[in-house]
Amino acid sequence: MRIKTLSVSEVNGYIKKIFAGDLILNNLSVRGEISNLRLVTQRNAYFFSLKDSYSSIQCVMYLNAMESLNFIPADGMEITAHGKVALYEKNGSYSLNIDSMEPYGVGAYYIAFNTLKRKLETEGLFDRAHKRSIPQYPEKIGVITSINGAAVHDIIKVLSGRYPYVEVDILPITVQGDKAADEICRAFNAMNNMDDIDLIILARGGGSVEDLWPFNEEKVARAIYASRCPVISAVGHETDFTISDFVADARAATPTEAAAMAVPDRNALMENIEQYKTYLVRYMEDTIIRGERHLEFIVKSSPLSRPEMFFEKYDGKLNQLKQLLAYHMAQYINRKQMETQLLEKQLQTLNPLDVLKRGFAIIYSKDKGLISDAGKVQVNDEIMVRLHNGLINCRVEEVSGIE
Amino acid sequence: MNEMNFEGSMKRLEEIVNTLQQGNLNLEESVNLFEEGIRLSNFCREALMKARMKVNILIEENGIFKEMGYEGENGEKPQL
Repeated sequence: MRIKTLSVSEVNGYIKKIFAGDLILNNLSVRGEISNLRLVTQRNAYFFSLKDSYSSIQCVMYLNAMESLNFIPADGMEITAHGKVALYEKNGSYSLNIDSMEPYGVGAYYIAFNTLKRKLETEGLFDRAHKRSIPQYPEKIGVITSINGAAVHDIIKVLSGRYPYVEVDILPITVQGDKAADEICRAFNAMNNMDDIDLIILARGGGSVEDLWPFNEEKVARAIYASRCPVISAVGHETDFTISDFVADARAATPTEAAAMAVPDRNALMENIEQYKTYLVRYMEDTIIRGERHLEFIVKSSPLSRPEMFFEKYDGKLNQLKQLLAYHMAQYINRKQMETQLLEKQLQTLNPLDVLKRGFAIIYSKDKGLISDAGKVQVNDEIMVRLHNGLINCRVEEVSGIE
Repeated sequence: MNEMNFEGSMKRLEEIVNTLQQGNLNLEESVNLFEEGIRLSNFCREALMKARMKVNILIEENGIFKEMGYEGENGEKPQL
């Protein structure tokens, strides 16, 4: 039997039709490792191979499909791709035309982690400016963790050892598995509704990447970000970083460290208090000593120590007044003396004896009576004439009247 | 004195020491602050010495979380 001879184009066209009509080839999910990834800008597509230990297949992914990925593919990455197989008629090669893909296995966690981290970082959920400070002396701390793990035990031990003054509310949650993220969100909600909690510790002991996964989920990150109380995140061991750690106000390497960050140390506080007290007492002593010295100085330097100083100014005033008094007294006396002299002079002009100096005489009778009437004198009477400087005894020889 | 809490007392004590360190106070003011400071430091020390940590566990009842005393894993007080 003869078969019909076909052109190359017809063969490729035929195979293309078969591929296009095949249900499986049009709706494939393929797992493999990316290799030889390259961008071909003329065709707006990435080209790469997906391979496993034995085979490889050419892949193409157009840029518009690429944009919806939540990770950036790279060589060596294990992925699960979805698409269809199509033939390129020109050279008879076929390739997997990928419309979506996602990371596979542990790598998937890593990629999802980085993708969410980038997203939240861009949104500002990790911004320093949003971080609240951990209260210095919290009164009540909410602890969101498993009730069965070592974490809760470590936290209680450290808190009570460092600062037993604090009260602790534990909200038990499942820390791993599908329900964990929702339980954490509910716990944040419950604790933020209790108005006396002033700090929240979100804690979990060590575990595998899968175990720690709830702490890398977006809703947990947003619950931490929205929390009224400051949050310390302590998930896993020192080397484990979770999205919760980045969003939280503080990250502790371990639950033990979280508890130590949350409260001050009692012994250190006691020491501080003692120092304050010592300072207060010394301050008071200093104040008293300073006061005493000041008082001493005042007593020494003031009139209290030389009371006469009080009187010095009065002394001066008194002297002044004394002098003034003496002066006015002398003036007064002078004036009075002058007045007296004047009066004496006036008096002297009225002294009848003075008249005698001018040649007048006073005549007395024998019995010293003053004679002012010639009629009372008779001849032979003895009379006495008084001049200003002597007495003359006389005998009357004649008496005659004067007309 | 009954209404005092540790945080407020501690902060007030620090404030008093700072105020005294800055000086510029008259005798009466500094004596008052001194007395208050000594009272606060005694209160804070007492509070720390006497404190026994209270641990509650939050149990949900009909959508409301209630505090229950936490006795530790084996019904014992947590090892403090």
